[in-house]
Amino acid sequence: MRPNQQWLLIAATNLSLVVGIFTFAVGFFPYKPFLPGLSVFSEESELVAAPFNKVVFMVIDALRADFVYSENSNFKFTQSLISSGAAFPFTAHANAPTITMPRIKAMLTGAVPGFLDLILNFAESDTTSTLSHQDTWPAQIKARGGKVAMYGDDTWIKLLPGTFYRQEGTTSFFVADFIEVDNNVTRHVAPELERDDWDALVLHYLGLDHVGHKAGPKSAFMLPKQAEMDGIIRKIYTGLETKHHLKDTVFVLVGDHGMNDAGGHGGSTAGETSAAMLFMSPKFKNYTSGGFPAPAEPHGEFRFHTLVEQTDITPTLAVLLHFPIPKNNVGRVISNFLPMWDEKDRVQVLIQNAQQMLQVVVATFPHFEPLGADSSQCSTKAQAEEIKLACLWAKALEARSLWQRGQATADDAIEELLRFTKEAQGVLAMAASSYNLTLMTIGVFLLIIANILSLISVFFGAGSTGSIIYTFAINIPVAILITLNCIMMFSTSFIEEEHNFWYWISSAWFFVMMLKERRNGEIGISSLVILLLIRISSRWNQTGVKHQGAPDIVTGFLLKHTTVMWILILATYLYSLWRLNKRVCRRWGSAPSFVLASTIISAAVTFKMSFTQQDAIEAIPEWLLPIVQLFESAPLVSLARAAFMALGIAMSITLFAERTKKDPKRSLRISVVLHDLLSVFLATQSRFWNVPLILVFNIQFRMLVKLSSSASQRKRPLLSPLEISLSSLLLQHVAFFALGGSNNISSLDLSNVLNGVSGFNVVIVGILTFLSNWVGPVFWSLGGIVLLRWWADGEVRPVKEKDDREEGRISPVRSDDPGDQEEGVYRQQIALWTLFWSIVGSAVMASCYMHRAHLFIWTVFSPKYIYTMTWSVLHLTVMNIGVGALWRWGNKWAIE
Amino acid sequence: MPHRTTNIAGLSPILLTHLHPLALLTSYFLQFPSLVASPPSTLFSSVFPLTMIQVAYAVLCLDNAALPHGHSTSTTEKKSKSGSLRPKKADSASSGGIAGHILPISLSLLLTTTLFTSLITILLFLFGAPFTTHHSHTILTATHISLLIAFPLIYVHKLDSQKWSEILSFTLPLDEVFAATVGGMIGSWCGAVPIPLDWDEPWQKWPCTILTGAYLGYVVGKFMGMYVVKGKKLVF
Repeated sequence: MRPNQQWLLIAATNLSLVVGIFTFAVGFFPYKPFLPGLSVFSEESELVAAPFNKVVFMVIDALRADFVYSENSNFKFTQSLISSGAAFPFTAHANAPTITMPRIKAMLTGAVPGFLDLILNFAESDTTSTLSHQDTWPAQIKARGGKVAMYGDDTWIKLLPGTFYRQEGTTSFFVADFIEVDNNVTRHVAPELERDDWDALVLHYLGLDHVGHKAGPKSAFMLPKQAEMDGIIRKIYTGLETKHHLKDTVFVLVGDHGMNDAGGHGGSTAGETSAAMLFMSPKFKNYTSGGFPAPAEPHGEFRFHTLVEQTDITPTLAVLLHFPIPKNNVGRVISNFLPMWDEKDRVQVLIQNAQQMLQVVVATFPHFEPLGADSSQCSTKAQAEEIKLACLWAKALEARSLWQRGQATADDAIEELLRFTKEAQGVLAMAASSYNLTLMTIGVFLLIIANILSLISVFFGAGSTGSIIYTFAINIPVAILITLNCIMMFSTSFIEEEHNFWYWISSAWFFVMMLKERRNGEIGISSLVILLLIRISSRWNQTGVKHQGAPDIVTGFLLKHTTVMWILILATYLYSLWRLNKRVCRRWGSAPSFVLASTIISAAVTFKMSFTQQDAIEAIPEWLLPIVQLFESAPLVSLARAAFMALGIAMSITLFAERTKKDPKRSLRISVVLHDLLSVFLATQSRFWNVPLILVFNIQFRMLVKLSSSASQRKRPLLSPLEISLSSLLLQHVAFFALGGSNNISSLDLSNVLNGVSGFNVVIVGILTFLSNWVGPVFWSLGGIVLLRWWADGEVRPVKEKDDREEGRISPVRSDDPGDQEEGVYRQQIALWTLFWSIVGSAVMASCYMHRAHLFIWTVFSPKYIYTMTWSVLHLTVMNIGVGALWRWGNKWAIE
Repeated sequence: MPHRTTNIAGLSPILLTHLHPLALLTSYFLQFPSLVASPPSTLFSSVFPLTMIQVAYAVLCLDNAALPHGHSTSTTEKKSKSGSLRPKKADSASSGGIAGHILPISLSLLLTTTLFTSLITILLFLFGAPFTTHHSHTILTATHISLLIAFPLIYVHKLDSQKWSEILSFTLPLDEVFAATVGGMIGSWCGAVPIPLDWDEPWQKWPCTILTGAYLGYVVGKFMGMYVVKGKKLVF
């Protein structure tokens, strides 16, 4: 096979991989259709009495049920309301993904948002994710001429553009800030309570979530924050009691989701899905028969009082405030409130809820046929869901007409209606995950094609030009790696704990590399250092699910010994300075080189320090504070831009100024400088406590350079190109998990996605999101290219003896042109990585397909699929192949 | 070349070397429940029986003459190179009856429990053993693995530096003893696999799976060395 043919095969593989991955995703994460337009009252519903006419809707982000209800709670006033009967307490079950945007959507529309919203959550400006065309309760209030005021998390404003009469958004950019972000909301509370022009007042407090993210649910900040929130609740409730224009106001307090023991959220553990939900009003005292216990005993993990679905809030608000229930709602009116109406209205309220849900059922099941008020054909046997629903609906109608004719009590009708809505809610929740099996099958099929193509390119690409002979396909380590990784994708615990696999297999690999060094008569120190650093970095960030929140090097040591941490961080930057000095811009001599290198590094360090000062000032030791405060006035955006610009200038100089140099090693030199610049950039995109890991990667990289080049008295590189490619593949994954990555949504790090961005630019923020979460893999994938260049450089040295066939290694036939050599091994590297991600991708797909009815499909397999999409589409195709090709092309162009 | 037909006890080494894995596995699995219940004390108390099994194996099956493959090449090379002091010693030991075994056995045990236990402890740490807790677990596990995989090697190869450099770069041809060593190492490595599973079994805790892997790997490796890969070299 000629090189061009192999490139063609690799391109075809990637095309079919990308198309397959997306096709499967469309079928696996169906775009949920919704009923357009606003719902309207039927004639009978119109006449139902309204207990309230205004609502204060207060969201406290990540308000887990036990924060309010348990005996460790500091919501003392709220608990007094619960025990006095002025509040109805509930635990609201929030569906995964437990992140803010889909949860707000659920509470606004009463519908369960599709998993796709998770992706859209990170591209918030996407118009498909706004609710401006959907039926929500603020839209209903606005439609009847009401006014809605909104203060707090600007997700609301993005979701409902143009809905709010008065608004001020806060962003959740710096989780360190849990004071200002809440004060910016609180300062509006008192003035708004004085005004009587609004019908709904929405408040969304982010501070408690930030406390969780920063220090966890048991931190010292938590109880004061609860007391602060409790004070605001007291202020609002007192307003309800004392101000005449607020006498018919219902005060709703909800958490959008909970948090896990580490303070994160996104997944589906009991802590993350159990949010508090309270309805408060002096009027409730007549209906709560003396109140509820407070503090309360939990029944089940984080479950207090009555358990309801989070979506139930929408229809409940609708009937309490008397507006039509939003069209796509699948929530049920919470039955605890029914005593507020008389018998006739009670039935009518439930009829309204049931009829609206029936419309959703009809839209979801095209073959659904309502039976009318006749359940005679229904049997009690197990049936298809929609037939069961039709029967329940018929029974409910029967019960109602019996009651209307005086032949049955209203309670019978209510019971039947509640039974129908319960069943409908369950069925519709499942229907939210109705897969398009055809598309999923096409996706799997395309991946099989990709697998075949990549196997062909690896099998027959080998030795095609006679220059590189690999035994890729029959290479045992590659086969073991791929096979084991594929098997793992079928086990939930191995998906959750995937980091262990990579640490485990990489340790063995570099142990074998040490033996290889020893066989070459050396001590094996390079591999041993790599092995030791893998061991250290594996403990840097605790990741995975099983031991989530367990102490690691960062939380157990570095954040407690900030001086050590900053010495390591500064050492990382000093190392980069040392690397760049005399290498960057070397054409003009050592002085300009030093100036440029130190400019880059000081810009990067300044940015990192200022960022940390705003993000977590307590992580800066005292001796460093004076230096940090020098830059206090400089805006972060400018500092980030300065760093990026310095890096950009250095990159251009490297590419342009080295151009004309007649230096046989200039290609290698350019690559080395570019990679050193890259590692400064990646440090900028990392959390401050992860910066020392960049130094760790750099040391590992130096060690691999030793092994891959013919430096240190070796006649030729110790590692074969295949071993280099495999090493960097392994280290890509090790680095990903060491930096805190996992297969769980809650580990996504969004703190560095706005570096240097002032407005909101989807493309740039998207790129930065990818880069700041894939720091390690990017370091090693582009590092892999540089390593191969080192290899080619060492291999082309004039070694003419025919000593190639040692230890059974088939060695490449030498060519005198480093470019040819390098191109060949690079092509094989891409072929190997494509093979790896293509086969593993198909395993993940097959696993998702097989487990689509599995209990953990939304919590383990779907997030894994999203990670697989990122690995194979963004990391492999865009990063490794796209950027890799640019990198090599730029390099080639620069030396010609 | 086959095993010598009798050893100092007058029993067939071939029979005994087949019984040796049986003894190892039986003793291991008999104490397994108590290992799971309290690893350090069980590991400590089972060091002695393990030592006995391994010493008996060494004395009864691994006299230098019993392993011709390693012996013949090493002595000839040694003699031609750096004098014949050590091989001579070994020869005298093997022919000196029970008393003649005491010194080599004691020396081997000393090396096993000090140098090799430390080395294997370091390796366990490198491969992910808990670093801040469970120290007695880890060191005792290293002692066990060391008695399993290092002791027979030391007993057979004594302090032959040439051999040890081959062993430490894994270029020594595989035989019953060395293949068992390699098997034990691979087994310990594979033993880590079940740890992350969410089965919540008590035996998933450190170091039960590792040690089980080591014993099983050792036995598999030993039989492989006897019948399958004998005389071959590891290629990588």
